[in-house]
Amino acid sequence: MSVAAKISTAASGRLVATALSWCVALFLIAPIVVAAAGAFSSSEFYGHRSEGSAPPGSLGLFWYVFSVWGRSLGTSAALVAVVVPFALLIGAPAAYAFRRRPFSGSKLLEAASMTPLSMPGIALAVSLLATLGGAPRFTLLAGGHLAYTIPLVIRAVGNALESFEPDIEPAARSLGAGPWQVARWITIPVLLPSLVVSALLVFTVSWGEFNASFLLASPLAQSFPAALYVTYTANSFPVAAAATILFLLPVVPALVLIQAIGGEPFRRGLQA
Amino acid sequence: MPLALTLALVVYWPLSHLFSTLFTRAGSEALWQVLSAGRYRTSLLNSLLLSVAAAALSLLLSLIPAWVLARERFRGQGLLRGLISLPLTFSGVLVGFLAVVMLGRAGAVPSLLRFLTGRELLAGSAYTLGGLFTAYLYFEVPRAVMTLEPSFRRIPGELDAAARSLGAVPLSRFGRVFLPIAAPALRATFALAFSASLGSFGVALMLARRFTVAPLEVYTQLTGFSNDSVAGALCLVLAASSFLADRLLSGGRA
Amino acid sequence: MNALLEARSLRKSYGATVAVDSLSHSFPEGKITAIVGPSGSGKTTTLWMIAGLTEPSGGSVRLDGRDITALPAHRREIGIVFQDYALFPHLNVRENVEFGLRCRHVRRAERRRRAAETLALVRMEHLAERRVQQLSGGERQRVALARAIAFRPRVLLLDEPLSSLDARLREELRGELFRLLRELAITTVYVTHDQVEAMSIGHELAVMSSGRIEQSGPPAEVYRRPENLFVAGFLGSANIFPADCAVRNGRLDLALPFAAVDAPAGASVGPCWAMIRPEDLEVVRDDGADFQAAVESSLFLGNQLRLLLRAGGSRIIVDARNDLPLTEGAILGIGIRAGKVVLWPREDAGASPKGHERDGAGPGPSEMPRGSGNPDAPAPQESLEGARSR
Repeated sequence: MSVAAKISTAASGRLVATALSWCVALFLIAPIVVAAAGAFSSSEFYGHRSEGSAPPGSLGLFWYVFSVWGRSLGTSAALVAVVVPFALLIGAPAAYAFRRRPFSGSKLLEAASMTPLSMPGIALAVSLLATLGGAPRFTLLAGGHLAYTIPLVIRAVGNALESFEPDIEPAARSLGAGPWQVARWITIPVLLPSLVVSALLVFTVSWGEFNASFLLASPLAQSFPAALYVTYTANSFPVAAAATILFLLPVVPALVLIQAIGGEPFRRGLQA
Repeated sequence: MPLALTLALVVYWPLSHLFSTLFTRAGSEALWQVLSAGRYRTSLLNSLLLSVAAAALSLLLSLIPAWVLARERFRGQGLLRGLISLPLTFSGVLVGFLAVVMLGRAGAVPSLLRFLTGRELLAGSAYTLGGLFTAYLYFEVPRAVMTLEPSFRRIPGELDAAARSLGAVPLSRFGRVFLPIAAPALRATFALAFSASLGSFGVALMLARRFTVAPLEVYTQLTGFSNDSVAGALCLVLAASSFLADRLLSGGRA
Repeated sequence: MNALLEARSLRKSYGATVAVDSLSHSFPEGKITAIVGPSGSGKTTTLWMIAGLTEPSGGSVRLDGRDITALPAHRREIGIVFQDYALFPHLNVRENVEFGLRCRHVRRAERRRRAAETLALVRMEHLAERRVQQLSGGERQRVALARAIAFRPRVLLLDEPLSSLDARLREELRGELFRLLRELAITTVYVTHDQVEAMSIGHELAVMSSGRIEQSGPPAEVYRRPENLFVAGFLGSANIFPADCAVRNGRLDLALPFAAVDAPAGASVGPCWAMIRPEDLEVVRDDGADFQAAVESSLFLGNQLRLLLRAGGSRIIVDARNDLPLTEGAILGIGIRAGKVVLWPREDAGASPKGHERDGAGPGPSEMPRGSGNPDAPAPQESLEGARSR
């Protein structure tokens, strides 16, 4: 084979590979687009009759969903509001300790904190229910979500800590920064992108988590994904689609932000 | 150490409780019941087989996008990465719903096919094993791509050049150089995808009508029959299989 | 000389491993002390203990006669340039340099002024608003130095400041850095593994090995009169032979394995080790020669010719003029320059001199000469390296 032919084979190979990747992306995105279209289009196309006061294809449908499932939206929002700060407050210092102040057993503890990620979600949910079933449901839900999200924070912050030079904190101390100044001027600013990414990550995971949410749900503490299921089984397609869009509404900007902020070290946190 | 406390409370106490039921009479009986015969074993086998197959195929599907994202530079790369990672946070029910949207009795794909061919094709296939399998793929491909990409990025480019300079043709470069180096990442990704679909309960909840898979069975036993010990035993088997997969394939990687 | 900074039996051990072994040294005020040693000899650990970034296992650090061992790093007023520079990635060049002043609550205008002043000193003023990620290796090194001196520390520590640069750049920056450090006239401790760097920068040279200082003093003094085999081998190249001092015909005679010469002044009777630098041996006409040696090989190094010779079972390195006419296997007459032989007593035939014991095997006549501190590397190659970096 001539050199030119080799180069053109390589180039066309790359083209095919890129095209194939877009196909995979299409496979992943097409259903969302169809669902979104469904929320706005006429219901006849799908052979369903819409309910509620608003006609399909208008924003009124969203108001309908909102009025019915507003409570669970609220629960999800409250859950996220509790889980995000706690996951960060527990996960970030732990990641810092694992990387910067390793102690005996810290490796073991780090590995242990990762177990929920490789556990079938339902197993943890069932065992939580079996042991702590008596606790208030909301607390229980928050606990289950923390179990899943803390490892994400540990991983994202840990990766960030590994990616910058370990000597910058000693450098700050030698320049006259006391412990608080080191934290305020060096450690926290340097970790800020990874903290933001972690927060967004925890937010999206907690917002979308279903296993624990569904099993642990009670009428008073039903999170939105659990409500989604009810919608899917009980309501017509446009309503379900509208609910889905409502669900995706905060997730998409969060993911866009993660992509925008995160270089590789942060994206690795996503591999849950 | 707040981490240790939280871990103990929400992870290890519940999990160890789950495992300790194994040693009670009811627990061990349930385990035997689950493993021996009937619908429990069928559901477990269904789950395991489906998960293995879905993990394998999604790994295969992810290779090229992961490689392209890690190695190539082109316009729209960020968009591609964004699109692929979007479903990462979707819960199982949502994926199940999307499967119904596409492959349900009045789904988009059958409608399109009817429009094109005038015949009923694939209608309601979302509720078959194949539909569940496709949904699992949807669930796992983003995870696999996002896990593989950083490890592909870490494979030094010089290595490929070195292999080329030694006269290796593309196919043998792939087989002799790339595969052995990427093997740990591939194994870890497989394990991850496997346990993700093994525990994925929302997808099954939406789609499994004519058959049963283990996570669904857990739910049915728990809520329908209050059969806690069987549910526990099923969970135990699920947890053990994914733990085993993780240990065996990722070589004890934390 | 006034000692501003002083280490007293400083010790650091990690479990059973001793990194620094009761190190005591006075660092003269306003002078540059270069600490040189192979990697793993405890140089960086010593520096970190002086800076207060590592807690010593024992001993004390004194500044201006005051014990500062318990003083936290941020109150010590000691600037440090790290090996990997450790610039703050989220701050630009100017903000990096201002950091020390910010910690001291210096007002904004004053901070700016002094940062600009310091950046001008290292000729980086035009890049003040750059992000540190956009800087080249040499520029980072200069920013790191500027940052460490901007708050006017009492003591400046530099940890291998040139080692992460490539050879050409290193050469270029070395001169500039040395000029600047000498101008600053601040008490400086300069750690390096490069003997040439150490000998040329330091007013004072300390050779470190296995966690202790083997010898210290003015660089030329340490090079010419190494107190033990380790120092002799680590700084430059050295021919070392087992020898004997004996009185013959009323004169003190030094018996080398291949020749007998007049013993240097101050030698005492008995077995000893003899060290001769390659540049202190010269190719002479036969009638002036102290001994004859056969040419085994030669290395053309540009500015000189390094000869590997063999005489009486010993291998000898000689540095000769680069225009010496030479044939393989030729026999040359070699003369030893007067007063250039260094002797250490040798207790008995088997024992090795101090400093060599830790390296393991004692030198046998056949494996002479030794190039540097690493006992395992083949001698000729080491010698070549020594010659190149000169």
